[in-house]
Amino acid sequence: MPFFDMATPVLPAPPSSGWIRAVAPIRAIGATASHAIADVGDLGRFTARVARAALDLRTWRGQLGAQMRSLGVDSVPIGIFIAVFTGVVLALLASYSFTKAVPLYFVGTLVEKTITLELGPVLTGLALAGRVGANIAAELGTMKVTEQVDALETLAFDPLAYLVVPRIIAGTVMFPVVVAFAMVVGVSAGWASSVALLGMTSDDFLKGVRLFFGPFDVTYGLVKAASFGAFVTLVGCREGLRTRGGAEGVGRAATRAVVQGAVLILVLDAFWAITWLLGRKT
Amino acid sequence: MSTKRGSDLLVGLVILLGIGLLIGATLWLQRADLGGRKREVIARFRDAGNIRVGNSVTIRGVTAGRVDQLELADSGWVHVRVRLAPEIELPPAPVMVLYQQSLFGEWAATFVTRSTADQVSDDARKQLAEAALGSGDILPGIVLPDIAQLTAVAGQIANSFNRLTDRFGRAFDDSAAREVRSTFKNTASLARQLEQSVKRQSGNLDRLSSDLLASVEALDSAAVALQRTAGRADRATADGDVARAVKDAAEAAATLRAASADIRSLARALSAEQGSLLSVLARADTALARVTTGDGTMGLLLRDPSLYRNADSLLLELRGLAADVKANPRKYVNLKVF
Repeated sequence: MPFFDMATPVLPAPPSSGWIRAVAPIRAIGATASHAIADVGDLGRFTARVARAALDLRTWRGQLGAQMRSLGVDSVPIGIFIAVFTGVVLALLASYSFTKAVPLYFVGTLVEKTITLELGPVLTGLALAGRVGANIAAELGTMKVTEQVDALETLAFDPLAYLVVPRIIAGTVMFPVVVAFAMVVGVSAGWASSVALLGMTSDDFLKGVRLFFGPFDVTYGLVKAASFGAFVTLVGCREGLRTRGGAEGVGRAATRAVVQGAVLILVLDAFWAITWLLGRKT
Repeated sequence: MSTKRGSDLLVGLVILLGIGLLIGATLWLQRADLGGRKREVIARFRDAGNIRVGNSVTIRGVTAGRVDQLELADSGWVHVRVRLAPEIELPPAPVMVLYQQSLFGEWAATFVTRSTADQVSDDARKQLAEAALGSGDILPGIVLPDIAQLTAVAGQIANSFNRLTDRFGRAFDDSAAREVRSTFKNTASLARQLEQSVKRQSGNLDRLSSDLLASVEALDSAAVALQRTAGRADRATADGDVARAVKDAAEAAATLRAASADIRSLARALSAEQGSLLSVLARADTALARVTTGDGTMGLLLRDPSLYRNADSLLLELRGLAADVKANPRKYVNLKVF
């Protein structure tokens, strides 16, 4: 018998089943991390493609108005609805917290700061992530599974320029508009509830609002809202165009769009707070 | 196409409305001076404290404007620009004062007269003197300490007081308390004694005062008697009784002079006798001294023990002789009559 049998390849011994079970959790962690990183990379590639498609102005310009109405104007009522109740609840919570400890005019300060800096953009963004994100994912997903997207390509339309760019621009522009309404209505609701339910005078409430109010509060809220709009529509479009498998796939795409949109809103909220608010003095 | 136009119009209206609402609300909340009708006042400070753009400006407690700008100036100054309503009148020789309006970090600016600002504190007076020097059109300003600084000072005072009470607690232990208690008891006892003493002294004083009163009354009656006596003496002088009394007194004096002469001679005799007595005593003293020192017969008798022993043995022999004579008289007495 020769020392080396070149005809028979030397293969590693197959792992035992016990060893496979032991490393399974580690493999799961690695797979999840790889998938998440790949997903982020895929979103980056998709964003780059959308940016290139945005140069095709003639294709998407005609769709912009309709998308702004659909995503923005039609979302104003829900934004106002959320803002009214947010303002009322904030005023009551503030008065409850400030009882006998802090002057009541600070209710105005808290309502203004909370609505303009945080709750106006975030709550409206979360509501629109559900409404707009799901809407876009379902619409594009249906187009995808019914091969309308393929038909557009056949007609020499860039689906990204025709379907995605106007939605993202509309979301980026109209989310701040909806949030602006929400800010004004939310503070007004807090003002009205403070006067009607808490017995405060308008002068006291406005004193609190003006005490620490600055244009930065509004700017910060609007910039956040614009970023929320851009990412919610971006995620909705991507999930819609990745739809597979008919109506069930459309449902899954809508769900993923809402979930990813909500998560992105919270991540962006923290991002802006860290990069813009941290260390800033009023 | 008309639907698209309507949609675009709606979108445009919503956008404009939203932007307009937001800008309008912001300007209204900031009390923006769109017409530029408000007037500016600038004051300078070494440190602007925690005043911020938008804080209110009050005059005599009434809101009159807001802080418009804070900027760093040359030579280490901070310029604070405020906007006031055009009808607002500043006090004479105005000074801008920055102060903390409440415990919750609200700062405000106000205007007071220079004399009022001078009375705030020594530090404020120094700030004011520095800020007013060559400031031109820019008003001088002072910053009052905020609650945090006052709280820090109060904290230092509290710490000092705490240390003081701690030391007092250490010094005032149980033994000190007992001593203080005994001191109190002693003080109470002393007070009781004082009270009794005061009562006694009060009685004595009462008696003394009554005695004094009696003495005064006696003096009064004596004075009356003296006055009466003086009156009688006056009358006696007039009757020749005094001359008789003087004559009798002269006679008594002569008698006294004779008696004193007798006494003087007697004293001289006594003096002589005294001399003799002194010489006798001197001699006796000399003799006693010799006896004491053992000189002479008496001295030897008193001081020499051999003499005493000889005398004693002689006495014994005499007693033996006497006994022998009594027992045998014939041995010594041989009486023969015939």
